[in-house]
Amino acid sequence: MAKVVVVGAGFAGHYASLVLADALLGKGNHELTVISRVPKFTYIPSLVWVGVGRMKAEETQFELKPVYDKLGAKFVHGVAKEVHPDDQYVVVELPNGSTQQVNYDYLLIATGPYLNFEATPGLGPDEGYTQSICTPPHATKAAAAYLELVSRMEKGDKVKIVVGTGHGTATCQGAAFEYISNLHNDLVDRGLRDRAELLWLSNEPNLGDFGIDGLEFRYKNQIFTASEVVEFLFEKYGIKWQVESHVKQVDENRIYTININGEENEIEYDFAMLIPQFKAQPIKWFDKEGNDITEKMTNPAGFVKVDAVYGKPYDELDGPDWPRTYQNPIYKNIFAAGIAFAPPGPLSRPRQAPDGTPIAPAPPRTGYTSELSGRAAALNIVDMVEGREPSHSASMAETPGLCVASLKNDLLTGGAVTIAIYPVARNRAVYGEYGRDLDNCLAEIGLAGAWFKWMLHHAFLYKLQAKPGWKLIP
Amino acid sequence: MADKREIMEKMWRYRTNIPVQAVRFIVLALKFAKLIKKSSH
Repeated sequence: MAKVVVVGAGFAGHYASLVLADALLGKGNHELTVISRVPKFTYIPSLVWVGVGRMKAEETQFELKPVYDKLGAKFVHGVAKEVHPDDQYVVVELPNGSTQQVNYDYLLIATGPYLNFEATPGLGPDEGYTQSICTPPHATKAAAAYLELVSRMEKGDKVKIVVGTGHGTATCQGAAFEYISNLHNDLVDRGLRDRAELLWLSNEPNLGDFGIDGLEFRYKNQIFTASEVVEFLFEKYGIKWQVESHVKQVDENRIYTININGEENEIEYDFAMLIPQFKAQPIKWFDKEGNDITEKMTNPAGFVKVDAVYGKPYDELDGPDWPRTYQNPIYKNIFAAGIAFAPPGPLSRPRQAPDGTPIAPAPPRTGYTSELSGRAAALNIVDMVEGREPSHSASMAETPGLCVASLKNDLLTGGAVTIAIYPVARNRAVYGEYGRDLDNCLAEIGLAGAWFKWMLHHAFLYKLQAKPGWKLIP
Repeated sequence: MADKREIMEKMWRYRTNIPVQAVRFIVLALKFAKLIKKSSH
């Protein structure tokens, strides 16, 4: 009998739990417990539509407990605060303030990010002046602020909207790109586009970097780049851009930036949605003597170390250095997946301003990539439970990135940029010059992408509720 | 570069053309299916 505990119920954690429940429960009295700080699963890719007021947050969510009840797994609604890997238990703080000890034989950490708005003074919807679409309450608040702005514009006001990243090392540029595109199209539909100036503000070295070092693809015997595609789209949409920038501070009226050359800028704005820096959820690790071993178990941002090759400079980092099994090298019964695992380095080249301010997108590990790492970690736990060595891999240098970036949610007049890269992390050991198989990379603008995005929304929400036939949906 | 611009302009022109997009949907679905298969280890 094995006790498996999963901390986190987002893309990686929840999908891993479904895989574990399917493989283990009902066989050999194994137990599966899922710990989540929120009681609902959120299909985060659709929050962009919530943020423009075109979808209710509830349409992106479902309650987790009924799904786990159906699968025979236990659900603990609470925040994991400590892990004691020698004694094999997790300390969870429950919503009523009490704590609970959850014992495990195998542990998967898949907590998702901590949204570090504090890293940029004035950033964020709670303590600051900017909006966010990173959580359902944030996206709902962003929609309310946007609709208030729309009513000002209807009365004749001209406004400035700024969307992008709110820190030099932020990631998830893709979500911000979707948001600015959806705002543009919503304003066009309302007949108000001429009353808004839209600015893309980002830490990317160039447009279309997306924290994945951009992408190239072969089409009609030519090599295109994501930079060319995004620049083309922004020209069509009349969106201006300022890249290579770190946001130092935000106040009620201005965003203060510094760029890679050390040039400072003040941007006046009426509405801003800026993605914060991501850190790991704050979990402390203790050994059997009670010593804090967090620094040994995690990287400086708190992400859990796995089977990656850490410490190499950017220029030496290559495909084989990315983790394959997501197993911790010290405690072999611990795995980490999704945003929670520590990557061996960035995908985009790290750079800094003359004063040392880092301006470099962190590597995204969201969506499909997150699900793949969760599945691999889950199947490796199953291997170990059944007495085998971990045999499943989902290296970002061997798996594709699939992304449908919404431009507008409408099945007749909508659009999206459909993006595929293979592999996500450049793997020059296998794919030479570009480190990617350009025949399996693409970026295409069209209504077909909007159909995909709509289909993915419904298919994922169906699959992740473990409804009949869920295993048939890839 | 002019060629590339021309290709992107063509993609833009057909972005909401339903018959063209229906074909693209199938092509993209096949591409995604191929890549998803590559990720099954």
